[in-house]
Amino acid sequence: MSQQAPSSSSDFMTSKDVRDAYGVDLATAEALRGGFMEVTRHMHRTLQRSAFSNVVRELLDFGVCVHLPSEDGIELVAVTEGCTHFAFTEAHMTNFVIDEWGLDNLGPGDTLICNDPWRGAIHMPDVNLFRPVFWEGELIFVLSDAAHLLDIGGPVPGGFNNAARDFFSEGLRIPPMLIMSGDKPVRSTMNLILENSRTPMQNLGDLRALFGTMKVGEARLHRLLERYGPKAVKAASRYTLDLADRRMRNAVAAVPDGVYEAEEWIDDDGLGTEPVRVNLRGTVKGRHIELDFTGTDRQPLGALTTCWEEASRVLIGAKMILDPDHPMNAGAMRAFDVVSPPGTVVMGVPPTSNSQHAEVATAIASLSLQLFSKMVPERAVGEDGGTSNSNIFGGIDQRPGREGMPFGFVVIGGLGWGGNAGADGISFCTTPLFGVSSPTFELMERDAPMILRGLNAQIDAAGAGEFRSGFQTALALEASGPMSWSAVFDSGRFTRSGTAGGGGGMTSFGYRVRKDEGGGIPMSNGVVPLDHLTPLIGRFSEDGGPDPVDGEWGRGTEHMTAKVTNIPLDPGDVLLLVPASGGGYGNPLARDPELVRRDVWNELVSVAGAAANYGVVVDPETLELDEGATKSRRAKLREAWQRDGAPPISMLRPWPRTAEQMKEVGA
Amino acid sequence: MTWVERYIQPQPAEQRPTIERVPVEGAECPQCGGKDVRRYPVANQHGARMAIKCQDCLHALAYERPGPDDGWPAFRSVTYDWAASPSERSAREDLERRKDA
Amino acid sequence: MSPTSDESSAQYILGVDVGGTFTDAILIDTQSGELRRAKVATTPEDQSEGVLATFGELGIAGGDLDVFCHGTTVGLNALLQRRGASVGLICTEGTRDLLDTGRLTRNPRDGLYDAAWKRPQQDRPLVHRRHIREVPGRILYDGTVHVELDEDAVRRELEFLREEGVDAIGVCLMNSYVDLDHERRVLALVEEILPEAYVQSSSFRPVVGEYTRTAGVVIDAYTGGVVSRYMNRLEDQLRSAGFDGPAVIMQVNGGVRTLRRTVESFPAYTLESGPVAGMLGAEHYGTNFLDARNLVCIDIGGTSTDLGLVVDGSAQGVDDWEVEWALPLGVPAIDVRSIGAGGGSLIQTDEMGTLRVGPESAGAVPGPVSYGRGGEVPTVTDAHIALGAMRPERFLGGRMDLDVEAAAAAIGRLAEQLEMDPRQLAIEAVHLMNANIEAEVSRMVFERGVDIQGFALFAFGGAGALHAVEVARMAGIEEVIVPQVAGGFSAMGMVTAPPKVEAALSSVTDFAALDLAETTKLFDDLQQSVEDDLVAQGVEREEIEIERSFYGMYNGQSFSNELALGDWPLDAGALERWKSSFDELYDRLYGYSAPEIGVTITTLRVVGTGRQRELTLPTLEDGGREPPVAALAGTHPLYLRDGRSVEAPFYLRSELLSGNRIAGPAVIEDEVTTMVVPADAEAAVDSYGNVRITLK
Repeated sequence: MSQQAPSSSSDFMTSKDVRDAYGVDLATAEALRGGFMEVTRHMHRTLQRSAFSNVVRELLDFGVCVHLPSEDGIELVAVTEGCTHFAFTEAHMTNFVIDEWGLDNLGPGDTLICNDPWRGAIHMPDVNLFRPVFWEGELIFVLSDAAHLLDIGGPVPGGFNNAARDFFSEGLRIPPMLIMSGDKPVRSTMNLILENSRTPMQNLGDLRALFGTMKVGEARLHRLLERYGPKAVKAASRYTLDLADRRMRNAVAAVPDGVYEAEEWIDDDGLGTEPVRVNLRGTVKGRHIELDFTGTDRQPLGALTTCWEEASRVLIGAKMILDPDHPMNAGAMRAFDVVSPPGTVVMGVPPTSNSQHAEVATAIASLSLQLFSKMVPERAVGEDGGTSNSNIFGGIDQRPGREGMPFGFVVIGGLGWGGNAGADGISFCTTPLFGVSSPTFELMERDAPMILRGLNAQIDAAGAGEFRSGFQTALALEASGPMSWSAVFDSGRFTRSGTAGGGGGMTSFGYRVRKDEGGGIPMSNGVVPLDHLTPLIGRFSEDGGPDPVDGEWGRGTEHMTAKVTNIPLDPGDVLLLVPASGGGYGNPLARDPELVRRDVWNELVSVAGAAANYGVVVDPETLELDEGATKSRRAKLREAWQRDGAPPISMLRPWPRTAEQMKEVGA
Repeated sequence: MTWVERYIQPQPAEQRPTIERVPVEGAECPQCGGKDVRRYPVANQHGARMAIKCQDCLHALAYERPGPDDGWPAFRSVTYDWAASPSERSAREDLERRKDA
Repeated sequence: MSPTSDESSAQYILGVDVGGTFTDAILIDTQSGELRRAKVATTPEDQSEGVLATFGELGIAGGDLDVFCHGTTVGLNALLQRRGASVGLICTEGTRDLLDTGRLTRNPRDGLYDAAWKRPQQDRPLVHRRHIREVPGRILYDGTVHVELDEDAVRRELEFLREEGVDAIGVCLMNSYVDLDHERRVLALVEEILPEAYVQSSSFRPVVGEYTRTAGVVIDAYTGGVVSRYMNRLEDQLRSAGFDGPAVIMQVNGGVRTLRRTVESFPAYTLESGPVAGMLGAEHYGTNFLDARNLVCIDIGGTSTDLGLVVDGSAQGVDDWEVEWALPLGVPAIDVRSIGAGGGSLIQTDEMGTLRVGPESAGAVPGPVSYGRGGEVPTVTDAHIALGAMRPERFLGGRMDLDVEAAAAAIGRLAEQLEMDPRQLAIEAVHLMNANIEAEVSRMVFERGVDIQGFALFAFGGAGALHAVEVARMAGIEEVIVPQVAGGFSAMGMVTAPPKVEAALSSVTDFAALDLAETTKLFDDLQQSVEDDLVAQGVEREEIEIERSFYGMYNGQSFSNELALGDWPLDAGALERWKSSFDELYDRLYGYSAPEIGVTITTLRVVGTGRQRELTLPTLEDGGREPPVAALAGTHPLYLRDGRSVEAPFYLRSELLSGNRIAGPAVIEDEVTTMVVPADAEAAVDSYGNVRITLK
């Protein structure tokens, strides 16, 4: 309990301090601070419930925010995220759009729309709306909401065109435009958006939901303005921002001054080029941090680029490590300046494409977590799988009764987060910058000729550590009709790093799967025997098994990249797709043997894996812990790892060749 | 930079692009007294800004809105400084008329 | 209406609601309207002991009773404390981690930036991964068998589970909503191999959505045995106490069901029975004794506030009620929301000087500082005492001593730290809690697309009336009603709730291509099963009311909405009218409709309801505007929201008469609750003894 707070701390503000600084009571400021959050929660719930498309409603790819304009610029006061990165990107984008349009040109009931990545949008399918909120003739707030529309035109349905080399090949670019004027939809803007999309009615439904969401936010803000008056409401917004600022700076001040550095490598840009380096340097001075992307590679020719948003998303690590429990707002961004040279992979210049923006985002999230983990080792978080592993399936249905109907489906299997100081990483999650959900598979199977054959934790494949990472996700999907598959995977070439002596995480890989005659697949815990597998993407050893260390990138595979577009699938084709796992935290030999035994008992870790990766000896019959054998095995391993430098990458070894061998290796 | 270059830019020639931190002549940091004060593009809570910062203690003397010559952000539209057309501010005009009345 | 069955001719009905601290009972004589209440300590080890103890308090024997109605937390406690069954789950090959995926979601409230956060099923599993067993066999969306069920494998896995010593089995296979054949074959083997096990499967509600269905199966498998054992034991005890009438239990769907049928079908239906009963009580009470069909209901207790909405005489339902994050029960439930705001909510600051009220609570131990049980952090109850709204000598009818000085000192310490006037701190803390409650009320109203004009705020539970008026003011509600029985209201709700059974199945179809005859047949089959169920509970077939509905969505969506079919039998006209109401429903809920897009039907549902019980409540004699002299307990200092102190009259509710009016500022007290009437409001007592406070 935090009751006995030291009032000597310079960051502690008494009620009197609050009154002196803001002219309102502490309780009024606090009630309003909660009130702003509540405005966004109202909007969040409205948008989630009313959205037309599954992307918003089920995948939760959206965000809603309240912003406070001032002389210096606009600051994001409150946000509720379906997808986490909007908490960062909306802060900048609102400034871009309102600055360009002019606050003085906006009237009550006006709403602007924009999807331009060079004005802060994440990618073009995400439309962002901005609406001023007036009270007694005065513009007090700007509301924004953002959602991923199903389709925004361009050559590839859904907008993920991995092969694109410029944004002209991706979809409709919408600069700031009025979409509501005085609360009436602007027909020309509506038509532009609907007529350039493959899913006009769905887009119309989502746009109407976005309009409705704004009105709910506005009504709720009006209630606060009515109850407390505009002066108190504005003052409380400043209090809310300053509080987040004080908290963040307090945490920054505790970081030793100095220069910290981290780097990440992205496989390639989908055109088979060399790996791309992303570098981040953090210079800490007192209560300020400058983050600098200098040293990052230039934008490649392919679609692996983002155009602005990393300048805000890079703060995810700061938020998670320095002040995770407080609601996010722009106050928490004030302690940071971000330097990001134009022309790099994180600050691409037009007309580059950014269809693979999600792979840049996942790299940036890992990079940022790594950097801030170095600043505060006692709160370090291991790297997650570092890929969005998005799969997009599409085609024309040929099943009886549904002939000729177009279908499109996005499936994300999730991945494991890194271990962290005090807890294992979660399995089946997306990178911390996202926050999307998986579909209802029974509806997917009805709406598209696809069959879910497996969604499993891959046995043994979690970065080992005192606190291990979450597990790799093995997703097996069968095509029951002709279709095309596009996918963005990363972390295929490079293993994920462990933290504080933890083991690294397994790389991403994928196979084609051959079914038995009866249609069955010998499969358990994500493992299918090699005699049923053909390498598709990843690093493989000579025998065709996945091998993150000695395996060769692209050995025997169909593709020399894990970012593929429009690969044809025939009925009966089965894919096994396995995104990377996270890294472990702390030495695996320090892990509580009972926790290892429990993972064995739960068939998440094999008996051999427990011995190899944790030095824990479990009786294969009784599943009881052999404490004596564990002790001597751990001593031996400690020596060996000191010699070799690091714990091994945790994965199933050996990978079985036949169905008969599956039991033997403990799969 | 000409306007067309803002719309269509080439892939940078250098493998790892950099920005320039331009020294501000005669400036002195009010916090630490340092003389190495520079002006360069950053992103802060407001988005794109030009920071004037002491390179010794990182104290920011000022944050300015980028001007036409700063090339920051990398893209900016040609209409950026144009006046709004009547149709783009009709609701605002309505409001001001009501206020006057 | 003439009595046609045992149940409806019953004279003495007992409702017993088991809460965390107290077990409340209400005995109603339906002929005379006489009403008796009892309150005993809850017996956590075996809740039935406390239940039976109420008999003694009420001075009745089992043989005197005609009907016994019940609400229990046995199942919910077992789940929250993870003391349920050892569950084995049989699932389709490749899906053993389905629940662990949690649909990949993170809780936007507390999990977003916390790298250590895990979904409840991953952190504290209801079913261990070891005991989730995959079996080959696959049915497709249209019923085609893609891979034949491997019965040898099923047998092997069940034998494994038997050796592991599981005592409950769940079965949920992919696409079983289309065809239950594979599940039936698995169940036959369960019967053979694990005949003693408690079993649940998709047949409890074979609707589309593998994740939700699996969660429902697992939650029931986990809690079903505990709930069943409890109910069997309770029934035995009732019988040996001489009771031989129907014993029913409150279900989350807002109806009651006999203990027997509950045990036989889906015991998890009882998980939220207490709070749901409160909303049902509000629904019934509003319509019959208040002439108020639109209510915002708040029930404020010691640690939490339950909220619900009654619109046009019916408590509102939800389809996606979750027991914990990403653990949906999978059946329609009455919408009751709970937030961490109550009398015991702690008033705290932190290293930055923020001010926070709840969600942490002092709980029953140590409780508020004024209880003198070791609490040091001030609570909302302490704030009310400091403000003079709660008089120590009247607290719980004077049965408990309150330490006023200790409460004031605790508030004083915090106030000093924050450089605030202690009284102001108390006022603001109460305001913060009110603002939290109002925010939740508002969100609920927005989500429902309800216009709150003309609604009354219905306040029950111990602390409801202390906060109701200010919450109403903020929410824009003009009237607050405090019922005559503010305490034990859930017990009252279960006495009045009708028997109710629902059945549903999924038939995912294009609405335009619906086959009338086939759809009619599906509805008829559902109706038959619902009626049989009710008849088995003693309801007369002819008095069952049937409601049929479709769940539908626009093509391409994945989130369906229920809408009742107004007309029966089904013909082209009925479908057309349903379709236009469907578009209207979307307009109202979401602000848009899309008549230009076709509709997909996902699920057919039939709800059967028995007759609601008619109650007569005693009325007060008419006493005119002026309260009787005996009602005035004196005047005491009372601090108002604006910080002013006034000498306010305090009234004893027990002495007030019908028609009495009391202008604010004033306080009305009874044994369970305290009503604060602010300066700009007036309270009126109606003929049932309800207090209705109108804001000016």
